[in-house]
Amino acid sequence: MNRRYLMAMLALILAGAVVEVWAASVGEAAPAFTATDTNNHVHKLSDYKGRFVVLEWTNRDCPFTAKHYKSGNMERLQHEWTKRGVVWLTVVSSAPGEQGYVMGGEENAYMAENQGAPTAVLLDPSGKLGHLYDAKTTPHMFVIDRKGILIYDGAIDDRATTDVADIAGAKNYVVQALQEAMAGRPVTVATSRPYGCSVKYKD
Amino acid sequence: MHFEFWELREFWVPTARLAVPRNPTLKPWRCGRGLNGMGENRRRLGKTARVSVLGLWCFFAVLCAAAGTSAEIHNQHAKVDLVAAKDAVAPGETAWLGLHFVLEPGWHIYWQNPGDSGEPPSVRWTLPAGFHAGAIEWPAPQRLGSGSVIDFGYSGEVLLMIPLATPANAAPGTRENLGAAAKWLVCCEICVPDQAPLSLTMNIVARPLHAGRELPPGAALPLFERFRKLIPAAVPSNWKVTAISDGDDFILSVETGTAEEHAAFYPFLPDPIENSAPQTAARLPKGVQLRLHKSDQVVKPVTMLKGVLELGDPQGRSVAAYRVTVPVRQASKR
Repeated sequence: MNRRYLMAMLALILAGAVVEVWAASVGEAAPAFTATDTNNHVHKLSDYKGRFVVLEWTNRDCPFTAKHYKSGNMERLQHEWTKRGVVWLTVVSSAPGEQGYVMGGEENAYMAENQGAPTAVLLDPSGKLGHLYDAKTTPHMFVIDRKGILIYDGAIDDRATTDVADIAGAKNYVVQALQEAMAGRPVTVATSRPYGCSVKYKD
Repeated sequence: MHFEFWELREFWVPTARLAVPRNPTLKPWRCGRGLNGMGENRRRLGKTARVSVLGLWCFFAVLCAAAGTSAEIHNQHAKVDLVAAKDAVAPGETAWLGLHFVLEPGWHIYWQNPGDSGEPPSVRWTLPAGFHAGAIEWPAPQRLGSGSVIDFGYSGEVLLMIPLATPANAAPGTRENLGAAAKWLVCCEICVPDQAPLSLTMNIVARPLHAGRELPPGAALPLFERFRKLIPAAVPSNWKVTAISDGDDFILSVETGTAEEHAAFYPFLPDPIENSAPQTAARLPKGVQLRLHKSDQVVKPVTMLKGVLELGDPQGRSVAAYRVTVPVRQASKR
């Protein structure tokens, strides 16, 4: 009995270790995760098989993120795509004491005030989910298709600036990936270099 | 606790091959708070440190007042001004202007390719008719950041030099106002976007001047002489630079004629290499070979490596930088 318990523990640890080193790679299955949102609800990636999933790394005080929130661009995207059945998960990987770290209630109030509409905001203060996907910047965007395959990893658009005026003429890679994949076409830009502030992980 | 000033003292000692101290991948352990700072770093700064930062800023303020630079602006975490190498220019000639940044300890701005995060500074000019400002001549950058996010930029002090073409019909004896709306992002763990309306008055003088007289130097001329040395030079014609694509890596080789201990490459464009991957330099009898890890984001094969190649001594502290543009060959099959 004792030995079986030990073996089970060992298997769990190994499984955990495997997940840790299995970084996200476009064209392959998106790494499985379980995370808790600002309302204490638990989200598993596997819950969303059959739906498109967008992961958006955020830090509201980062000027690059602020460009997309203050202009209403990110909120607009969240509204539009969740209405079309996409699961939009905003992720906060800032560690406690670092810029962008928030508690659930505070983040809910911010989203309500800005009329943001993600499916959920996942709190990742340990940085586990961030490291699993190797999220480098805020914003850093990922798109997962209905089969759970990662189809986009990179920047939100092609204008790596903090200037709100640049949103109008930008090519939004997330929108493009979703449109193409939903139309059954291959994604033309499947990776790009993410831009923004570094994710404020625990040191 | 007067560490901040002494950390910066090297900036005031101009030497032939050393001007920017290199701190390869050191994460700044403390971010200074500007005089007009928003207080976001209060958490990290003790009272003593705050007092001595204030002392440092007073020191800079006095120094710059004595040097007589114009249009100086104290912003969050940086002092920024527009300076000229010479106070006057003749019609049809080129004047050198510069955006001079003095950053708080720990804070940095970005190079033309900011690396994995950040944004380079930019200028929007308001110039009299016929005047034309060229592109920024970027000094070789420093490698900043840690872990999987590596940036290219400047800490301490930097002069971003810009050539100004004067029209041939400019009238000698007049003074022209040059306006520069500068925008930049300054970061130290967190980032703050900032901007300043800068300006400078330039005297238009006739050529030839009185016999034996040159254009009068500006107060900032020593600054230009110091930072001009950091602008990457063309590769000497007797050197041989080659690049090959070898699996997941590029191998950049330089033959300079002597064995080189240190080399680093900074790409002009964000795409070709993984910034956070270590760059391993191997000494060659007559040069150096540098192994660069390809970026995962490269979709199309890279046919040309373009960037700044830095060579120096084993400690990596005495450096010279060169602009390289080299076609990439496929590794020969073995």
